[in-house]
Amino acid sequence: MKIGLIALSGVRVRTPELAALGVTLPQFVNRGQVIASLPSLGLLTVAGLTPPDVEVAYREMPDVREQDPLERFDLVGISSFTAQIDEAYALADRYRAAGMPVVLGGLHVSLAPEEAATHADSIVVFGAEGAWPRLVEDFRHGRLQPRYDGLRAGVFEPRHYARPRFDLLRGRPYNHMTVQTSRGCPLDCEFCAASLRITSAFQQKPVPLIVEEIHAARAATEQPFFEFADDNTFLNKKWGKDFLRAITPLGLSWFTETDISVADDDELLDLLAESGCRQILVGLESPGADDLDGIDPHNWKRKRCDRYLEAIDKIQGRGVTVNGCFVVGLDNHTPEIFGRVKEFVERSRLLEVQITVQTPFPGTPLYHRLAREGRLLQPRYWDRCTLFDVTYRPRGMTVEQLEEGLRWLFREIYNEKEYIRRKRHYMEIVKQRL
Amino acid sequence: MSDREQRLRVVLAEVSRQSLEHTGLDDDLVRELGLDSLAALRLLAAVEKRFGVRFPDERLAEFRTLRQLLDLIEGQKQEDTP
Repeated sequence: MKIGLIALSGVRVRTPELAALGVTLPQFVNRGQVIASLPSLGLLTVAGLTPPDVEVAYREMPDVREQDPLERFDLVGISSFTAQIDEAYALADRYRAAGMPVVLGGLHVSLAPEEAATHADSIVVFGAEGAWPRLVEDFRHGRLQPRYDGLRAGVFEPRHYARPRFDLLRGRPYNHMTVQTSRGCPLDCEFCAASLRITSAFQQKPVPLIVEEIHAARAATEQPFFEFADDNTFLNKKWGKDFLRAITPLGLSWFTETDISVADDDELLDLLAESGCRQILVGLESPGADDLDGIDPHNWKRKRCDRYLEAIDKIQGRGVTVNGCFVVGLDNHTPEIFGRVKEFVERSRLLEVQITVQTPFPGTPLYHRLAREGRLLQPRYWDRCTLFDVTYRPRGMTVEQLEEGLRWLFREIYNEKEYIRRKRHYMEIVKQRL
Repeated sequence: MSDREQRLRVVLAEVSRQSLEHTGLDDDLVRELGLDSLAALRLLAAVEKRFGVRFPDERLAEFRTLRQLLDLIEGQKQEDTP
């Protein structure tokens, strides 16, 4: 039996004006290219969960050209994010028309299962752990079910865990590899459409398993830069220190996403720097406490906001750059938010900045609230879930003001002068540490 | 190999944690050492600190080979000489 796993990933900007602007913006393009060049860790994990007697082929969307005949598989698995889900559906329809059964999975499918089911013989909802091995066995015996619910907790327990098949990437020109150390995040921000939506609790992988995965990823690609594909890596500081001590001897260069509380612990920060961490991405979301009111159920980010500047200084002082992420278009934002974000970026001397527009991904609390309030611009807009397209009516400004403000902020922050200023600041920090 | 080139190789090897034994004077260091953009900046920062020079901010991306680095160091050292 041969299973084909096909990944659709990457970022895109649909609005022509922003796309044109993006081409000239080094930092945005760099980050976009990095994300676009990451392999699908989800499908590599699915491959790992596949019984060893089944042959697995890992393919990416560009491998499947429209003009070529489809490669024959006994079963096809497709995973995609929301922005590309229509292309995933079209591909699924094509395979099914050619007589090959299709399984769809991933975050979007978990959040909009009924829709996905119309394009698949079967869907996997939540984690592949606890679902995929059953699915393969059922398929082998001719009793494939229309839906399989995977685990929402305990995914890293030995009976469920499988190491991702990094070996399937051999021969592909990846220089970035992803490894997951945790799944979920208790902050539960209203707009978040990441792994917390498919988990019932925050879960951390045992450190020895992570080290094994790093070795496996390194065996597949020469000197990769590692991205820990988490939503909040250092939530648990004790676990974080154990993890950092374990990876320090490996001589990695790496990146991850976490929250600002990482700056509370000097020992953790020192370990972060020693272990080769080059950048952490932190969702600051907005520069003012009032802007953040209600963004998460416990107002955690609102309470933290006053210490953002001090925290950024502490982290970057260790030579670890902070990629500060801001979301514009929150309910408490008015048109003056754009100037305030720019001012904060300058004052904070953030070395990397990511600006996106609030996006109600299907199935998120934000989506349900905006739908209730009648503020979604279209009933179905998945191809506009790019993080750069406005898909709802903001509360404190018009759609046009939000779009123009975003473009203005892009021009102000992603320009050659600012880029050079950030680079020089980073070099001065590095020099102080040498 | 001049003393300065030897010293430069040692500094770069130390910061990049890689051997420059087989790196030619005109080899692209970013490609040769597989550097990401931050790693490239760290190398430049180390050269600035150890050799007491300063790269022009607008031209940071242009310094990609040992020869280019040496030329800048030589140039600025000569300027410093009374």
